[in-house]
Amino acid sequence: MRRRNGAGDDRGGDLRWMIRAGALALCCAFSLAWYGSWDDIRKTAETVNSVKADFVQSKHMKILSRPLVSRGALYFRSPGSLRWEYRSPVKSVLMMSGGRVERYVKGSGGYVKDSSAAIQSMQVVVQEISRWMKGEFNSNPNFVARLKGGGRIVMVPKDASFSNIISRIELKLSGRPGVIESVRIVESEDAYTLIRFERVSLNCNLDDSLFRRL
Amino acid sequence: MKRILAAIAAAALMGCGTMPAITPLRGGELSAAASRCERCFPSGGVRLVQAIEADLPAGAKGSLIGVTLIRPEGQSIHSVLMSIEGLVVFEAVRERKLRVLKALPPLDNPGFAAGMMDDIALAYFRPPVDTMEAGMHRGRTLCRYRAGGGVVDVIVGDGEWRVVKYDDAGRLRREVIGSDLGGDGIPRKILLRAPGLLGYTLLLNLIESEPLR
Repeated sequence: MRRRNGAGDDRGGDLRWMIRAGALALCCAFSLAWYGSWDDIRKTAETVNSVKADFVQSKHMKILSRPLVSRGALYFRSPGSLRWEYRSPVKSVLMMSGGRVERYVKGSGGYVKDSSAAIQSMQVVVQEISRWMKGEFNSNPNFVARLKGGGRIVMVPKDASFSNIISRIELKLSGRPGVIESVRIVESEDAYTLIRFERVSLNCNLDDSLFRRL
Repeated sequence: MKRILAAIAAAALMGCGTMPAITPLRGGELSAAASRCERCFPSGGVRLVQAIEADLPAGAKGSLIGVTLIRPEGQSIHSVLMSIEGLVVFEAVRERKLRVLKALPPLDNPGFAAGMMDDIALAYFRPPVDTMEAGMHRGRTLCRYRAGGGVVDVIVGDGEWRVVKYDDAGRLRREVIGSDLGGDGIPRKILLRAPGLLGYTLLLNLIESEPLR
């Protein structure tokens, strides 16, 4: 423990306080600059060429006694390459590259290409995720997007028939510029999916094969 | 998923498969066999979360996650189907009657909901019974439940059970195989086959199960 003695120590304390206050002010200013407006968000996102992150997805529904938790990883490379990979409880890999979307699900006989109608709807979803990665939260004509305080974005479907499927999407931007902290997809008041991103790396080198091969 | 609907609609056109002959058991042997067969089905309510692999006509394949609440005492079923990504595409409850709470196209045909509930009931509820006989078939216990013109065989042995449904003309309609039985009697794997030209196969892998209070 240090002893406090005299005016020198007081000056040291003042200096430390000023440094902390200055750092805090800088952080606030930086944060405001990152998600203060749509333009700020877009400009920051333009500096991000690639994203690599783990995610934890929890599905909340009345029928479940506890959330159903899935884990996986996300890889994005600008302008439109995406790999959305679930590692548990069901292994599946969704890849978008050159506008083509493919999904493989691991079953009893290994990975099998999904050829059901669901893949068409997934094309819409992955395109939306790609938009977010590019900071384009208000460019989807099917949603009204509002930028709220604290880096919250709320997207509400314009079409009533679509709102029967998804009532709103809530995104929380991280204090770290260019990073999305979480996405909450609300289907109804008692059913929603929360996706939290962890261990996010920006502008890392992502191999082409991630978006084309299992 | 359109193909799932088509396959279920085509179930009515299915044929093939014959009912095996059995040597009937009597007295104490009959009641012991009946107990063995009834143990295939949960005695109390249970919540199941399963990964579903669907093999559909024309080589199509699809995957979903299913959450099912089963209450044998009231023969009630509450079922939710969702995509791997967590989007609910179907939800229905069957108690005295069937209520579809959510059904995204192409699962919005009432025939899909009814067919799916019948498949779940076949796999998890003791078959309806007017008369029952039991015997041995290839070294396994076979219980034959007859009700309303239809027949359901439950075959038990070698760590798995098999439920086979025939129509009133004796044609095979559905076959369900439960295997890799857990300590709670719940199978970790269920294979459901609907034979025929537009038949389908569903493989249900258990993710978790818990008894309902």
